Amino acid sequence: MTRIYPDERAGEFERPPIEFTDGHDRDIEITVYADDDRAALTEMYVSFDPADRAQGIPPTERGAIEGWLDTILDGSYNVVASHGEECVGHATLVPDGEDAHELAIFVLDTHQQAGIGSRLLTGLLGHARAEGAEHVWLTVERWNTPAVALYRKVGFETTDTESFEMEMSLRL
Amino acid sequence: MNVVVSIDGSDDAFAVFERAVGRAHETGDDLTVALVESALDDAATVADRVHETLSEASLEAAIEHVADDGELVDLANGERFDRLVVSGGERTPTGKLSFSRTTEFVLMNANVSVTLAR
Repeated sequence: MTRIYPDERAGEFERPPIEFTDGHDRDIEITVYADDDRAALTEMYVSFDPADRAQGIPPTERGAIEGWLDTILDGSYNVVASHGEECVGHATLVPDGEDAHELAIFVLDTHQQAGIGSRLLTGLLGHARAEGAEHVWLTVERWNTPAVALYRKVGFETTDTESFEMEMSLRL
Repeated sequence: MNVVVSIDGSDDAFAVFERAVGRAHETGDDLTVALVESALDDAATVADRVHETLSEASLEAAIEHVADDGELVDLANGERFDRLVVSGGERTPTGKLSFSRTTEFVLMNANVSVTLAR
């Protein structure tokens, strides 16, 4: 499927590691994902609120989560948000085989609405650009206006509004 | 149960049809095959393959030719059918479910139960 990307490249993005205090005064660190993070990442998805699932991901059962992570972590760009030893957020850019990457962001329900998703997004884009990624796309539920506003703010443009899901793209 | 299975131009539509044939064998469902002509390059060849598959399975099924997705839904919404089976539900690279335009159209407009098969 051929996608349209903005002519202009998006602005500058911060690169991990990023340390900040979130909206609930918690110390959060965003780092590039390493193999050591796998156990904590899996535990995050095991405790993920099923109500926060979108379009069938993440899976709900541990075995399915492990299989899904094996698939998406292969060859993708990833950053994780940590609160102490606990993994509370994950953002990924998974290659689509057509020289572009699909974006997905997940934040644990206990740590939502505190600015973590926004920093995961910019940190991931900064990391992926430094690694040479250029084309990024995503789909988002049209009624998810906070997410759409965040994506627009960093430079995503809407490419398809006809489907259930709205599609947006960005040039790094 | 009266089931109509559609064959459109998608890669796995025929595989979905073959599974529907296998299932009809087990359940005794009445099967109707709908060929969506607007989506098929060569509906006659596909119809031949359908006949072949049905005769190999010793299953009798009606074959209906419909012009497009709209006629497919009209057919399925008629009183004869309890369920419409279509191929659909791909996964994006991150694993999200995504539906083709055809699948979305069917999901929004069909009054019968719809099974998405892959």
